[in-house]
This record gives sequence, structure tokens and C-alpha cells, in this order.
Amino acid sequence: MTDRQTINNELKDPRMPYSVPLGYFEGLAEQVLTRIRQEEAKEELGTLSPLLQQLSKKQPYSTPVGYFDFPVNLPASEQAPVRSLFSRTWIRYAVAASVIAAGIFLWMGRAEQPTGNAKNVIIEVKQDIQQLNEKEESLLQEFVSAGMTGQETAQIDIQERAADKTLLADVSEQELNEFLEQSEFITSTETNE
Amino acid sequence: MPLHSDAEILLAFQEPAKKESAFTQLVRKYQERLYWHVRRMVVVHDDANDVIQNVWIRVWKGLENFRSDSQLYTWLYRIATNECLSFLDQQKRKGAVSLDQEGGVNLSEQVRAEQYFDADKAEWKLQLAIQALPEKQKLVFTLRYYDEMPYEEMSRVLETSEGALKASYHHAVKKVEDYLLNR
Repeated sequence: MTDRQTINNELKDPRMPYSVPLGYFEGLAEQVLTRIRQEEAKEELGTLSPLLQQLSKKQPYSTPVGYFDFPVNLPASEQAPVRSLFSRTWIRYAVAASVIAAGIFLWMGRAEQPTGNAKNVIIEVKQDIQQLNEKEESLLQEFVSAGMTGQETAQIDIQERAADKTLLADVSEQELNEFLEQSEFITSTETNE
Repeated sequence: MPLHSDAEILLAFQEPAKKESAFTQLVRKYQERLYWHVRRMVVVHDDANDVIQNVWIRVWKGLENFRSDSQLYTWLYRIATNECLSFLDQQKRKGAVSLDQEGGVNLSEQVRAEQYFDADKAEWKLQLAIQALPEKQKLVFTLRYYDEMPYEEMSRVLETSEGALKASYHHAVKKVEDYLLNR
């Protein structure tokens, strides 16, 4: 008897034997409201301009194939830069060469006339800059002069500067280590003098 | 398992272990709507891509403090709209775009330079008509016409009264219609 009752109850369950997608009823009100809003917008447009109402709303613009399929890959703490200046190869080289040249200047004890390797590096930098076209040159100028007031010092606390982390996000560990080794060498040479 | 509602996504975002997957789902849910909103404003895909990435980075940074008393969707549109306007301001300052009579950005040339542009097709003519609108009116028109956004929500996105938005949309529709019929 109990079994029959249970079966009867189960058969009376309005859900039997069908199923609905998970969360269907929770989202139904929102779906209906969305439809109502869409209808309101359509009715309004129909009143204002039957011509526009008849036009297709399909976007004529194109996007690269698979653009919306790319996985989202934002790091958990600090985000990768959107447009990194360092992704331009010529800037990487120009900036790296400038940094090395500046370091050598310091190392040479603020020499008035650079000689030897320093001179060669400066010549290379000049050649690089001469090879830049007008647009690249103006971008480099923009980069070099961005935010500079002439009062800046060379001391930067990388740990405290999230902006620097972002700027250096796509510079490889190896490049950073090489740069640090060079800086340490220059600093220790200056200290010993 | 995919999360369905914004509330579920927001809740998951508060848990460190689920933070990234919740964010990914949020992006997947809204990426196309926001992208097209941005694209219609800046026209060029590369520019839209730059703007949209900035939008999602802002969302990532701000989502933890997002107040659930306002709609997430409205908040996202607001960020996207502000990013678009900032981008267009930068373009103006750089002199990279032509300006309309009121000093707004006119991107008609960029529309004409699009890969599949065809001046005889109604959908392209419509894009040119939209680009001929003043900036704010363009925003109102696209949010209402394409996204069918209710005025109430639009007023939160654009911080403008509903009455002013309705009037602006009505003017915009008339201008667009006039452009389509007479050019």
C-alpha cells in the first residue's frame, strides 16, 4: 500500500517525466523581463522610424577569425600590459642600447669624449636611431620624454612600483638578469674607484 | 560547471580558488556585447581590442569591490563607455581622427576603410549615419538601437536623465533616417 502511495505521489509530480535545464526557473523572470525590454525598444523604434525598424541589425564589421574563442588569461595579481612598448623589437634594442650606453658613460667616470667600446656602442645607437622612420622616431621621443620633469633620480624601488612591473612584464628573466649583472658591475667598479 | 547568473559569478569571484574561472565566465558571458558596443564607437578592430582589454582589466581590479545593489551589466557598460570616451579623447589630442562640427570624433573615414565596406549596402550606410552623430548621441543611439537598453539603465550608464536620453534618441533616429534617405 505504501509503495503504491509512493508511486502515485511520484506520478503526480508535475515534473515527471520531463526535465528542465539547471537553474531554469531561477532565470525565467529575468529572461521574460529581457524580452519585455526588447519588445519595448522595438515598438518605440517602429513608431519613430519604420525604415530603421526594417533594417538588419547585423554588424557589417569583421573581426579576426576565432577572436572570441581565445581563452581569457589574466594573471591573478598583476595584469599584463595591453599595449607594451617593449613588444616592438626596435624599441627593445634601442632602449637596451641606450641603457648600456648610459651605464658605460657612468663607468667611464663621466668622460667628456667616449672612447673604445663606449664609442662603438654610441655609434650603434646612433645608427639604430637613424634607421628609425619618422613615426617610430616620434614614438621613441614620446617614450623617452613621457612623464619626465627633469627632477627624476635613477633610484627605482621595483618592489613598490607596480607600474614598473607592468612595464617590464614582457622583458624576459634572462634580459633582466643580464641588466642587473651589468648594473652591479658598474656600481662595484664606481665604489672601488 | 558553468555559472548561470551574475550573482553566482560574483559569489565565486570572492573565493580565491574560483576567482579566475569566475572571471573567465564573466568575460565569456559579456565579451561580445561589450566588444560590439566598443567597436561601434571606435570602429577599428585593433582599437576596439585595446579598449576592451583595458575594460576587462578595470573590471578585474574593481569586481571585488563591486556593490551588488547595482546591476553588473550596467556597471560593465559604464566602464566600457568611459574607456571608449577616454580613447576617443586621446585620439582627438593626438589629432589622429577628424572632428565633427561640435568637436566630436568623426570616424566616417575609418568606416569607409573597413575591409568589406560597400557604400551601396544599407548596413554600411547605417554605420556612416551613426558616425555622423555627435558622440553622446551616438552612444545613446547604439545603446538603444542595438543593445535595446532600457532608458532607466542607460541613465545609470551615461549619468543622464531618462527624459534627456529619450529626447536624444528620438533626435538621433530622425537624423539617421534623414541620412539614409537623403545621401
